[in-house]
Amino acid sequence: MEISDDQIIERTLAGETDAFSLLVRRWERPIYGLSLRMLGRDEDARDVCQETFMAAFRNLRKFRGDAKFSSWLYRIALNACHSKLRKQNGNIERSIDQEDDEGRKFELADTDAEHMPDRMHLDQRAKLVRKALQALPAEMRQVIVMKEYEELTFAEISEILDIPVSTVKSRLYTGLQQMRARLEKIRAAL
Amino acid sequence: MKNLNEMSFQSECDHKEELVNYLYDEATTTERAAFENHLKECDPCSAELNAFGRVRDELNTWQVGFAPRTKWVLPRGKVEVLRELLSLFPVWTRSLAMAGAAAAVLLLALSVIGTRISINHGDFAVSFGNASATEKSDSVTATTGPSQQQIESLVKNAVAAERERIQQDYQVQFASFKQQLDTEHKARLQAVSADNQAKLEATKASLRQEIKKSSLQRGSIRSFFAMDDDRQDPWSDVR
Repeated sequence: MEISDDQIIERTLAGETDAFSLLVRRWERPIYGLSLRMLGRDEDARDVCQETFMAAFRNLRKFRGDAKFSSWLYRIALNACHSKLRKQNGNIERSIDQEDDEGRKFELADTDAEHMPDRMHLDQRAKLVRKALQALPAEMRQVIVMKEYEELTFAEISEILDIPVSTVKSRLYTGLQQMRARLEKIRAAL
Repeated sequence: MKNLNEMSFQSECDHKEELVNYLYDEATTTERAAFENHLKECDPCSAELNAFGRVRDELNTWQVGFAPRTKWVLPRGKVEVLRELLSLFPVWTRSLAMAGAAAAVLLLALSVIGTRISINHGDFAVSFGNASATEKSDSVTATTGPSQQQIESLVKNAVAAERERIQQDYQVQFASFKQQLDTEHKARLQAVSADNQAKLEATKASLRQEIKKSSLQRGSIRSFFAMDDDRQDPWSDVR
């Protein structure tokens, strides 16, 4: 039977500090995924991942255990992401036309917009999604990322963000609407 | 151009929460059935549900194949790091470092309380508090406290003095140890010598005893043979 997060925390607090590396191995992938989708850059995601586990280790005694450890960890990671985003100084609110790094339009052999997603290479579609997601306001992006990629429940997201469940759903709804608009605009621009 | 963040596809009916619950499979069986009935009658909701489904499909094209291993090294406290660093040095170096640090702290404290140290023509003077204007003009030392150079010099001297003191301590300890060893050695030699002397004496006494015994035996034999010489043959007359 796999040792629980709470048991690992107990062992770490009892002085067996190496046990914490089990938590790192267990949660590094979700935290990295969340950070990468929030920030869009591998290097930044790695930094946030590192910072998150360092902060969790230093503040482990403050973890009360009334919430899940993963929720607490996600919250730390999101705070680190927001801190990084603030430093990036508004780069998130770019328009679709500015989203391509090289400033070029996507060039495809078939420009039939209606069938474009099916014909577009998966990597290119992923790139468009990444750009569209990055252009969303952070509060909507984080809800979409946690729901769509981390597959958390509305209640879990509500706990992590410390907001009502209805607000989570509302942000998700609006976020999906904006994603839809952005993706359709990209298709139209191709 | 309309800001995309404000742009939305307004559904004509207010079933957003039900739609989201249904889309992410978090609706109860009853809610699900109710919303499915609603979808049959509501084209905007139906269209929105399909559109959101496509958005989800698009979102899922971005998958993170792997996560790099987090470089995890247990953070250690400053004291722990310092202790480990100090343990790398021999004991005398640690003592020296501690003495140097103590001297530096002392000097810093002295400079904070406005102590002035001046060295003029071989005279060493220490004064506390603010100096008078005259003293200030006469003094070689800066009025704002010891200069960086002076502090460095004092620290250097303190370190040298401490090193000297430690060396002297070692010499004294070494001499004491040597003396102790010599004394022990002499005592052991004397004990061995006395033991040997006693054994020698015992052997001598034993030998004397043997000689005496031997002499007595020899005397008896001699007297026996002498008596034979004097004795006459009792049968001589008979013959």
